[in-house]
Formats: sequence, C-alpha cells, structure tokens
Amino acid sequence: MASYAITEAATSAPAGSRRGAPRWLTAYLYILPATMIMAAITYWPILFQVYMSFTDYGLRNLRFDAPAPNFVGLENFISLITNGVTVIPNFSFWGMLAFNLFWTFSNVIFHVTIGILIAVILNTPGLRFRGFYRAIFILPIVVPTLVVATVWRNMFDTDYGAINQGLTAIGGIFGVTPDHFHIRWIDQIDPPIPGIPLPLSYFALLITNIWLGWPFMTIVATGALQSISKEYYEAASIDGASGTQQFFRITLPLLRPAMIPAAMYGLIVTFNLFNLIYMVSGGGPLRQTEILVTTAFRLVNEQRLYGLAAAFGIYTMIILLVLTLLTNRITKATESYV
Amino acid sequence: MALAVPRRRRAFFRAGWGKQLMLQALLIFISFTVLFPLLWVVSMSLDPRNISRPTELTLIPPGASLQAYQEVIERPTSNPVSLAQLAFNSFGLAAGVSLGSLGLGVLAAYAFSRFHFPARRALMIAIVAVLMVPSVAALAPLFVFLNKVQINSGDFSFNLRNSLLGVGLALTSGALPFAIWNLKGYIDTIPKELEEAASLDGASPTQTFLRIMLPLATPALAVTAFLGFLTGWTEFVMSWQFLTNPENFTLAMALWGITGQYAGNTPWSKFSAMAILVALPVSLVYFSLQKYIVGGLTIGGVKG
Amino acid sequence: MKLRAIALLTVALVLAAACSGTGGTTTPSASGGVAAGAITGNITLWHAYGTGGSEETALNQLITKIKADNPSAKITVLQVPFDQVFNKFQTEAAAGGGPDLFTAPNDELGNEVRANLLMPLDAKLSGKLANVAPLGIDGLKVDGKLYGVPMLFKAVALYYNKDKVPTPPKTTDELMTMLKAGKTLVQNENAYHMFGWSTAFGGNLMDASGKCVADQGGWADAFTYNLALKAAGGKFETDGGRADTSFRAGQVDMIINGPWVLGDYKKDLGAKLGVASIPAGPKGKAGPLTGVDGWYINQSAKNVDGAIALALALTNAASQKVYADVAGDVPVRTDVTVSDPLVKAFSDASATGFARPQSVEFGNYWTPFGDAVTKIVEGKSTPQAGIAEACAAMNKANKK
Repeated sequence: MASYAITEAATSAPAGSRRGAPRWLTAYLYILPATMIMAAITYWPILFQVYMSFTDYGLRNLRFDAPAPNFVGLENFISLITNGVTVIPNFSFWGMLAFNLFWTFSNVIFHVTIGILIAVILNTPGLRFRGFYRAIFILPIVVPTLVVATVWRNMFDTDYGAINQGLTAIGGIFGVTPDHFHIRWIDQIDPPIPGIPLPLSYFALLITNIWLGWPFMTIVATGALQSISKEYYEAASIDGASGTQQFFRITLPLLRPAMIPAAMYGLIVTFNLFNLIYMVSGGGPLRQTEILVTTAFRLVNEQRLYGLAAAFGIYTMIILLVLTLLTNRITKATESYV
Repeated sequence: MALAVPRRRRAFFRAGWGKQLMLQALLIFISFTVLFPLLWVVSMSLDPRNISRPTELTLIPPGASLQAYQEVIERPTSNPVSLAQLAFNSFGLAAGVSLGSLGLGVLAAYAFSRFHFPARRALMIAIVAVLMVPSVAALAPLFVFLNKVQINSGDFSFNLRNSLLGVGLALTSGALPFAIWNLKGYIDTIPKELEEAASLDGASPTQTFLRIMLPLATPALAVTAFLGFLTGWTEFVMSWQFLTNPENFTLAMALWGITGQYAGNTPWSKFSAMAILVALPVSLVYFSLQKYIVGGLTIGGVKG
Repeated sequence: MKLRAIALLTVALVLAAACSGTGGTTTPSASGGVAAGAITGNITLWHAYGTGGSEETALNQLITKIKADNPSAKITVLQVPFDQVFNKFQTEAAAGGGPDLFTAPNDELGNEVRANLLMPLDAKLSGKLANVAPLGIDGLKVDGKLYGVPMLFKAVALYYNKDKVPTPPKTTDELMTMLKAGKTLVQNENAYHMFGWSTAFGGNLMDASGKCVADQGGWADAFTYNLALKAAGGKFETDGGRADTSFRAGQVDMIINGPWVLGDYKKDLGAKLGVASIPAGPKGKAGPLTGVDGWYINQSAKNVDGAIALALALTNAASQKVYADVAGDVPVRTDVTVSDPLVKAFSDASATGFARPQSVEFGNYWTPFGDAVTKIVEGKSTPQAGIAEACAAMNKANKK
C-alpha cells in the first residue's frame, strides 16, 4: 500500500490523444470531490487532533467561549512513553504496545490462514452446495458488531455460556466431569499457560475475532483463486505434483499479491479494533487486554483528557505507518499499488 | 481476473465421493460455528424470560413467543418515532453513504489508477493513512465544526450537525479511504487496452470512464457499495452524539438504546428481536449483490 | 438489468418499512394561549431512563399531568441511552446547544460544573428547597454552590429472599453466621457496590484535602471480612446481569444492589422480596456511596425560568410520591411519606450513606480501587497491600 517504489508501468497514462484539458488537470477534477469532503470532514479534525496533542485540552476547553487550552509542547508525548500517565495505575505504554502488536499479528495470521483454506475448499471443483455455504459464511460480516460482541460475551459466561456448556457436553463423552469446564473466560487473572503473560480473556477475544474476521479473507481469496488459470494445475498434474504440492507451489504464490494487501488492511483494522475489545472483555481483567485505542477512549470518556488521547492517536498512526512500510518493504508485494 | 467465468460443476466427478463427503462434513461444521451465535440470538428473541443467556442449548426456549418482536415493532424506543421512520432513516443514511462513497471514490480511484499527475503518490498515501488514525479524540472537534453550518431564517432552521445529512457526510468521508483504495486496486487489474482503443477512436477520458471503465469494474463497485451501505446502516456512536431530533433517529441507534441502559439492565429479548430486525435488511442487500461481490474485494489489487 | 433488481429491492424495503408500523409522531404544537400555570415557553428535557422501565413510566405520568396543567408550555422530552447521556450533553452544551434541563445521577456533576456547562442555582432556588434532606442538597453542590434541583437518592442496600432469609442480618457477624449456616450472598465485584463496607469497619477514603487515607485502617479490614465471606461461600460477580439473574431465579438468597432494580426483582419475587441496609460492622453503620439524581439546568438554556419551574414541579412532594410509588425510588424530600417498606428501607440506607464527592480527587478513586477490589477478591493481593497500592496510585494521580 504505502510504498515508495512505484513502477511506472502501473501509473503511466494510456497512450492516446491529449486534446482538451491537460490530463493532469482532468485527474485533479476527478479527485477534487473526494478530497474536498475529506479535507473538511476528515483532515480538519485530524489536524485539530494534532493541535490538541500539544495542549492540555480537557472538558473545560470544549465550550465555545472557553479559554484556549495551555500549550504543553511535547509533554503528552513524553509522559506517554515514559509511563508518566498517573490517572491509570501501573500504566505501561510499551507493555500495552507489545500486547497490541501481538494481538494484531496473532489475529491476522489466523484470519488469513483460515480464510485461504476455506476459500480453497469452496473452490474445489465439483463441490456441492457451494452457493449455500458462501451465503452462510458472509453472515459474520453482515451482523452488526454490537450484536456479535454482546452475544459472544454472553457465550463465554462461566455457568450458562454456550462455550462451557459445549465443552461440558464434549467432555462428558470422554468421562470428564463438568466442574473441569467451569472456565472463567473473561475474569480469570492467572494466565492459562504458565509463563506466557496472556490472560484467558485474550483467548476469548481471539476466538471471537477469528469468527468475525476470516470471512473477509475468504472473499478476497476466492476472488483471487478464480483468476488463477487452470492451465497451471493441469501442467502440474502432468508433472506428477500432488495436491499438496500444487497448493504450495501454485495456489499460495499466486494468492500472495491479493492476500498481502488484504492482510495489511486486516493489520490496520485489528490494531485499532475498538468495539470488540471494549464490549467483550472491557480491556480486563486488570487492563491486561487493553489496546492503545481502548485506552485513548478511556482517557476521553472517563477522564476527559482530550490532549493526551490525541497524542495516543498520533502515536497509533506513526506506529501503523511504520508497520505497513516495513511489511511493504519485506514483502514488496504491493509496490505498484499505491 | 474479473472476467474469468467461474467454472461451475464442470468437473463434478473430479471430486470423488469420499472427498466430497469429507468436504461436506467439514463445511457443515464450519457453517455450524458461524450460525451458532446467530441462532442463539434467535433463541433469545423468542424467550419470554428476558434473560441474558439461554440456560440450555435449545433453539426454541420454553414458552417461546413473538412478544418481544411485537414490543419493538410497536415501540422501538422511548422517543416519539416509529419503526417505519427509523427504518426509512437508516435506509436513507445507508444508501447515501453507499452512493456517496461509491461515486466520489470511483472518480478518485480512476484518476489514481490511470492518470499521471503531480503529487499523486503523496495524495494516495495521505488518503490511505486516514485508515490508521483512530478518531477517538476527533469526534468532539468534528461536532464543533459541523455545528457551525447553521441556517436560520424565520421558521426554517437547519443545523448540519443535527441532521442525517451531516452524519451521512461524516460517514461518507470516513468510508472514502477504503473505497478509493479498493476501487483503485481493482481498476489497476483491468487491462488498459480497451481504454486505449476507445481513446484512439476519439473518446474523451470521461467517455472512456463512463462507457468502458464503470461496466468493467462492476464487482468492485458492488463491494464498495455494499460496505458503504453497511457502514451507514450499523453506525450509532456518532449518530447518538450528533442527532437530537427523534425524527432523524436510525435503527442502529434504537438498538443501542436498548442495550446501553442504566446499570446494565438490558431487556435481552427485545435486544435480540431488534438485532434480528436490524441485521435482516443488510443480509438481504448482501444476497442481492452477492453475485457481483466475489472478486470485487481487492484492496491493493491483484495483478491482472 | 441488474440495476433494476437493486431498484426493486430498494422500493420493496422502503415499502416494507412504511407498512411495518404507524408509531407515534411528535407532540402536537403548543397552544398559543396565555399561561395558565407557572411553566411557560418551549422547554426541552432529557432523561436516560430505560425504555418501558418504571422510572420512565413515572416521568411520563408526571409530564402528561404537567402538560395538562400548563397548556402554554411546550415540553419536548428526549430519551438518551444512559451510557451516552453525559457525553452527549457535554458536547452539545459545549457547543451552546443541548436541552434546557436533564436528569441523571450526579456522577459527572463536578466535571460539568468545572467545564462551565451547568447553571448555578443558589439564587433561583433560595427558599424553595426547605423540605429537602441536607444530604440531597449537598449531593448537588460543587465547591459550595448548588447546581441542580435534587429529586432522588440512589444508594445500594441488601436485598433478601424472605423464603430463605426470614430476618435480614443486622450486623456483619450475623451475616457471617448465616453464610456459614448455608445461606448465600452474591456481590457485584466492583468499587461502587462494595464501597459501603469500608464505613462499617471505620474506614475513611479521603481527608479534607482530598488525600487518600484509606490505607490508614478500616478499608483493609472491610476486605478481610469480605474474603472471609467468600471463604464461607459468598459469591462475587463481575457481571451485574449474572448476579441479578441468580438472585431473581432464587438461586441466591441475598444480593447487594440499588433501588433501580427493585421493579424487576418485585416482578420475579413478589412478596418474598425484602430490603434492609447493608449490615453494620464493628465500627458502625455501613455507608454506601449515596448518589443524588437531580435536574440540571444547562448553562446555555434558552428558557431558564421555564426549566427551573418544570424541575420544581417534577420534584415537588406530589411528584416525588409518584416516583416512589411507581418506580420504588427514594425521594430526597422529608415531607413525602413512603408507604412501601422496601422503598423505606432504601431511604434508611441512603440516609446513612456517604455522599458522593464531586471533587477532582474523587474522580481518581475508580480505577485504582477497582483494581484493588479485583486483586483482593481474586486473591492476587492481600487486603492491606491492595488498599495501600490503590491509595498510593490515587494520590499519585492527584499529585498529593
């Protein structure tokens, strides 16, 4: 996406006549409506957010006739990374960032892997009821996140949650007593795997978000799969390649150009995934599943520290920009697509 | 790739019965995991006990009734607005965001994909970078800004912030980066030969765009339109912050109104019934567009 | 072609929407007549009561009556979901808009006053609050000035199921004996519902300067006691809905909760439902955090006099009686006789409560003490260490 390496082939204008307005002018006319709206409604508030991040903007500055906030220079930025935020006990920016990154990558890896596998299965020649499955698999995208988050939170309930009930039923087959499945998915503080500082609620969130995220990747992968020429597989079959070999040597490499931008989009969305975390675990227990954006929300909503939250937003953008540029460098898959 | 015709059933017997059965079992299992939480909502909506979670794994709860549906249909919120009005507003907002982001987005995407102009790369990065900025602290300044657009003359008064138009503009602007990114990715994959031919025949860029590009980009247009629709249909945070006139309220706002109650006292049956009423129309829109959507989601693009 | 299909769908959806109901429209416009009552002009009012709940019913009854009595007033009522109401009010009021008045607990009062969003009412209300309990008036004061018309007390108490617990425990020792004898109690595991125990054990949260002094005794004892309750079978829930469900279903004998669930509990338990104050401890009565629901007047209100007149009408003795009878709420007025013994019990609980402070310092109570409750109840920290840590964090945030 955000690449500096632009291949000329993708950008050069179609050869042809140049009568009428200069082509660059036409281009600007095409872009103008979108940029005008975005300038007023998206960029202006973002710029205002940049301004706020250098001030101690709070609720008292919100009123139209209120005094301007005090300019505090880089104080917000510095106090964040030096853990100087005192309104949240044991605040650790770097700890939170580490969790945020781990959260993001662990989710996207599952989304992409499961998404591709299901797309490949759905693309199997001769598969029956394909349309039916495709219709069902879109549902997680269509149902409002508010509903999804609320339902999953209740499903992780210790006593009546469907997850524990289901586990009990399965465990019963193998003679495991029900009290083994009194799992406190959201509340348990101790990490389930000793030595790995991830609470159970992380896994609950992961399961929920996998449910929510793979169908998007399946749609992308399905589109790309259908563009792979059958001849590759026919040639490979003649050479005696097995199905597995074909998957790794043909399917995966040819899916790459489609999946990497989709994965990057997934990274951005998951990194800032507010709704789900806020509604399922609330960042708990003890803020162990809090990410940057949920913390920024707390600063605004509970403490009205707009300035500090704005600095959070700027950091988030810088981190994501670096992340995507790095990924882009490493994969080089999208170089012609910005 | 968009032009590739799906090969339906052509090689039915290539997948042997054993493999077919195995795949079907697997897909039924996956369908089950997808449907399970949704069936739970259905079960709760029929449950007269108003509980937050069914106590047993049955689809039809004891004493099932449609009362919750009747209640939310008759009185979806405390405010004086009917379900029909809510649905109408939701539809208007969603359709507006959908068409707005599609129309503006495809123009910009076409320019980014096909034209060479100064600051092209910088502009594209600036647009995509918007996706990375969380807007948590930006809602208040946006409110103040839109609130400045007010017209008051006699009996007529209009405040852009306190209108569906204002919310729609804000949502459209928010949906544009993704729309432009995805549409550009798709247009990049469309071979340029057709446009070049048209251009040689004397068509202007605009004619080429309208007659050649748009029809070829149908799958990406369908996806973008659908996602824009979804954005408008499900939004509630900004709407609750901006709108005060019940005549402008939407279904998603009503749904949040049921769940965001004092001390967490959610009437679960009504919440579930409302959730189904909210999710159903989007699902219908999706299914009606489904044919075009597969293959249209190509953010960043697939090399064609 | 395909576009037609989409268009058809559009039409179908719109038609479906149009046919699916013919709900209410907005209130009819005001009659142009001369004022018959004290309330005049256009008044916009916000509340955050749950749809179909008993508090909403009470308010609607009162508004209908007030509208009939004051034909020249045009009152517009808007319900906002509770968790959006403060945010929405603050942004709107900051932009110079918003309602003339709104009602909510005094959770955000201090912040809103410091942001200059609420109107000071001392002069306008002088002499009009003679029959209001001092705790109610103090609850709506910030730095000595009054910023609202007090209406209801909100504090938690002990609900019990009379089938299982014929006489409620009066002291912490009695409660402990009951749990050891097999009775059950569920508590919401948070810094709000559990606040009251601290007073019963002689704890004090802050000194006069706003410095946290909870680590100087009392608080840790209260939590030591709660851990003993847990060991004796006491339950703690982080999810309030779950705790409610278990009590309403009769699976648990006692629960600590506020008057806002009284209506729901009554529906399920009927005559079996009893309410008592949280048991008194070795150092005195329990002091649950007592909030006050008031009517706040927007600093940018267009119709200040109308708004104040309406707030007074909604909080007069007759109106508070309606809230008490219909919704089970606790009136702040001393001249309202409460007939329902359950409401009476809440009234007693509120009277001994700890008035919710509106200081900046108290704003930093929630997160550190919320953490402390979790850590102590989950056994991650001893009561002494947990409270000391929370107190230190609170003082650090407040720069004390």
